[in-house]
Amino acid sequence: MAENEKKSDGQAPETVPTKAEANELPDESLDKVAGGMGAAVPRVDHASSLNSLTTPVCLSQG
Amino acid sequence: MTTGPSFVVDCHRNHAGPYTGANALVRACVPIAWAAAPDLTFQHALTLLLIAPELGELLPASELLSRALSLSREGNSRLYTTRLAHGVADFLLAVLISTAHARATVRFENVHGADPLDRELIAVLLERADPRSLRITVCTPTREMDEPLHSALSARASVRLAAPQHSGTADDAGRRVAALSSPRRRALARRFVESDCTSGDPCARRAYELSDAQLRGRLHDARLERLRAAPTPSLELGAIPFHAERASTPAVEPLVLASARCIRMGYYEASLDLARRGMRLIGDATGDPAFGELGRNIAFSLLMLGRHEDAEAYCREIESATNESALRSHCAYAMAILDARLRPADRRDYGAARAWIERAIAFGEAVPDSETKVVNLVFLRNTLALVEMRTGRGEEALRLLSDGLRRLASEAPSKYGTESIILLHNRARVHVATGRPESALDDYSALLRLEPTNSEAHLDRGVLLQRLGRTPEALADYDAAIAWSPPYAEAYFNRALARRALGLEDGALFDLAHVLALEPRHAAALVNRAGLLYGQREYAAAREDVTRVLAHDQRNAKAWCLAGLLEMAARRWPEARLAFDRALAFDGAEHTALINRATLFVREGDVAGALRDLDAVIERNADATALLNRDRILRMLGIS
Repeated sequence: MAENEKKSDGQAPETVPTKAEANELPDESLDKVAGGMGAAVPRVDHASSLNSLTTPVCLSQG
Repeated sequence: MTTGPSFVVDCHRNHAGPYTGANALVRACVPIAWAAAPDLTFQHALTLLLIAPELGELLPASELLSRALSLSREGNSRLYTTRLAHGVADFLLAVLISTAHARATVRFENVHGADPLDRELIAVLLERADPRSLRITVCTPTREMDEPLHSALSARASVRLAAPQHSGTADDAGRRVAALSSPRRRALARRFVESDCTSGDPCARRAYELSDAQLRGRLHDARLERLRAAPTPSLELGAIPFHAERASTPAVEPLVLASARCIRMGYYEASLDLARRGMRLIGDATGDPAFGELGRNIAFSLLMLGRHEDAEAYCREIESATNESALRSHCAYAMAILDARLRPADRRDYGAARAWIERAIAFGEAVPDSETKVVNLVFLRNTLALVEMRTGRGEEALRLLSDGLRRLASEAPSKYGTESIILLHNRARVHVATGRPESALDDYSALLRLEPTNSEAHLDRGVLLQRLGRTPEALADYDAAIAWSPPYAEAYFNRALARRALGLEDGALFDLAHVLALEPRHAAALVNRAGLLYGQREYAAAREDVTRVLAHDQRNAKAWCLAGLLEMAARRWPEARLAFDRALAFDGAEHTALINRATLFVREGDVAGALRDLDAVIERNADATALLNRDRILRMLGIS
């Protein structure tokens, strides 16, 4: 039996279920499982700052 | 098609300087818009009043709006005027939509004589206007046009050759004018001057050219007197200095004032042009009282226009031409800014910048005592702080900025309110860079108490608050950043992020649409909008955005991942797999592609592959979707 827990040192698990084991499940079950899996929508999260080219230059007064 | 409102505006800068055409256009539109949609018009008041101060008689300005209008834009990037152009476009397009007019037409005339800022504005309008609702005609006697108008015309307009209004060559005109009586010739010359010397009538031009200098001077005197009888702020940037230059007794003062006003507004081409003309008028006499201010405007305008070599050459010329301390100090300062900030990163020279600052300080100390002298010396140390920051000495940068603020408060108290803004902003940035967010927030707040309409400070504080997880406060800052500036992409993009984080998806979509109106190729906005549309099952619209990203950036992993999701929604599994593989080929760390590919693996029966992808994500961060999906697989396998 595979232990799909992270090891304490954070490394990937040593063993994972094999494809053969998975294939023992009926296809419709796989479809159902896949259908129930959440989608990850890519997005840009970091806010835009004004870069140094657009921040004002401090000019001395006349 | 029914005819809608029609506007014809003369863009020749001799009339009203840099925004001659824009000024005439908004002054013609606003009374109509104000009557039909006052709230909507008022939303654009800042842009409208910056372009056409004369509208102050019609549009009421609150105390805060008056403050925002009075802020100096000197030192702002050249891009600030692009914001203004988009602000005018926003106004026109909103008015056209809200009043549901039939197609409006705007005809810009004399575009060959327009300032670069009017031409930039026409380019922006061409890019943004749908010709079905706004038809734009650009009239010029030449096909030669600089950027960005050249590209906008090439992409959006068709060229038609119109029959010339005035027939005959210059020689014909000369012969015809020579045959006229003196009074008739004088009348023609007067007509030419009355047109601010913009008339396309070759006979009028020739009559003026053939007049003796005394008559020409008198004609300009008369025109000047009439213009001054009804003071109009915009004429002070165009016709008034133009005729003052050519009057019987030419006067440099109107050129000095106009150049100063233009640099204060960030209209650098116009400031430079006026300053150069002023210099010609005084014969480059270093002893003339105008020399220092005109010279300063030349140096800083060249600098801000990105004409770095010209700026450097001018500053070196000043070094050998005059010992005037204030101008020598300004020029040394300009050189310091060049070396510390404006040159490409690989050509920056912080050692040289320090030396220039020392030199500028020495000259600055030599001028008579005044609050302006204090401000300039403090600004010089502000540039030194930038050098310290960029050479890894953040603490020294902080000390210099704090000393500067103390000195301003004690030695230039009447200028503290306006001149401390940049120092507080810079100190806040140094605090952020050195890991002191709370101190940065204190500085931003102090700055905004002094200047509540500072859009850029609201934006920067918003970014910091968002990073600290204080999203509702960040949203309030982004609202203010948008309210207190003509439109710019960063403010709308960030507000979209905050709105999305707070579940305000429609608002986020509105903001992203605005970002894309301003910057149609903004990849992050396209990706984020596609993601929101995908979530709303608006697959066709999402696909359109993804296609737009990939048209310009084939290696955009997020766009490929979205393409994969859209293929999955269409149940095209092989295409989806290909898209996720591409996403990962371009960015192996794009975790959304791994998570979604895992779902495909499960569907294909490759559970091991699915777990491998999900574990790769979970190793890097505890992504909730990855954890849930893995849990679901494990439950399927009966091991959870």
